[in-house]
Amino acid sequence: MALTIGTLVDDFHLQVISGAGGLNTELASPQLSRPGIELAGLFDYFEHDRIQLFGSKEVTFFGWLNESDQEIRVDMLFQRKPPAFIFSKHVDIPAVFVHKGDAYNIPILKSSLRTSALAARLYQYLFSKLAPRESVHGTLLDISGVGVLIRGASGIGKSEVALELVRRGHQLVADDRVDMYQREPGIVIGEAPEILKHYLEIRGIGLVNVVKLFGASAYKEDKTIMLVVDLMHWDDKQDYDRLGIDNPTYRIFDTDVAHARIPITAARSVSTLVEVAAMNARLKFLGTHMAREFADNLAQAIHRKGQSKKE
Amino acid sequence: MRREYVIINEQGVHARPATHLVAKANEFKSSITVTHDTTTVDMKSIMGVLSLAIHRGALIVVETKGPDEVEAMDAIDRLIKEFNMR
Repeated sequence: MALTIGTLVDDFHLQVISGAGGLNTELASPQLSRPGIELAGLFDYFEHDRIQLFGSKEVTFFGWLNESDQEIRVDMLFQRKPPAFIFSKHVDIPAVFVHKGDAYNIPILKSSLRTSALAARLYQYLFSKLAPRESVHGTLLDISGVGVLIRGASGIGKSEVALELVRRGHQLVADDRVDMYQREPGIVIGEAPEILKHYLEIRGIGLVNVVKLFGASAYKEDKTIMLVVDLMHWDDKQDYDRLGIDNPTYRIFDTDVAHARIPITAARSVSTLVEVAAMNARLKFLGTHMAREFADNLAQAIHRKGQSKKE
Repeated sequence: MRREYVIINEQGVHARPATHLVAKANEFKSSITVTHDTTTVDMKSIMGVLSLAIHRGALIVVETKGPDEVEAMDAIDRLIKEFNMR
């Protein structure tokens, strides 16, 4: 997804001080640079493809330099053409940055946020916009707080399960196509492509807007994927998990997500199965592993019986 | 067919080996039962087998009946012996 400095300016309500000619520059890196060390003269590691963020620390230090060093180092910063310079709330932007911004067509921007808050928000924003994305054929729901990605062959009933669960008060995130990115290792976020947001496709009925049909509480913008459920037709030759003692996982990017394979037959209510799988996952997150509790109880019972037989 | 075993595995037939026995039993058409003390359960039912809580030193009786009873008995025999060796 292409992200321009102009979009960033709009989304963060930044003030454009100079260099407006560079607002169409596309951002390539989701990272930030705080170029304090560059102002001190070391340019060997200069991350010139990143947004350059200036807080009071950098600007105060810059003020300590004599004018010729200021001139030289600012030129070196600008010559590598970073996408933009952003100054945080309590900073007076040195005049030389304002002039160079116009000369090089690199936007000089001012935020109303303090440096640390600005850095944290920028990180999250840039990662969500620029992190590698993958699309998967499936349906993503928020089931009582558990993000469940339902996969399965076309026509197996993913959308029907979603419809039933939304009727039961759970939330739709995306139907049919889920776009995923990793916010950080351990957290994979899924969302619907813009045009599909709010919609479910139900065979025989057509497109259904869940917000119009069930209200705003039926929909969620995005959700961390915490459980992957694969629906499959029952196959006698397959060995399905009977007890659930193991914790199988499925890898998305660098993240291992809990994984359940659920065989379906005419007699099995798939929506209820998916709902229970989500609740079981939730219990595990909370520290209760029902199958392991059972196995422990059984082991104790076996042990007791063995002891009493010996006596 | 009918065979008797004494379980000598230290932990008894706990959850994991029980799962393997039941999965194996489900590969066959014959009816397969396991008896411990005075209780007989279907070896194709996981909850049934677990309910027996078969401990070390327990005597169990396996019975197979049906078109593939010999093959079923052989397969289960191998599994139990392998389990007892551990």
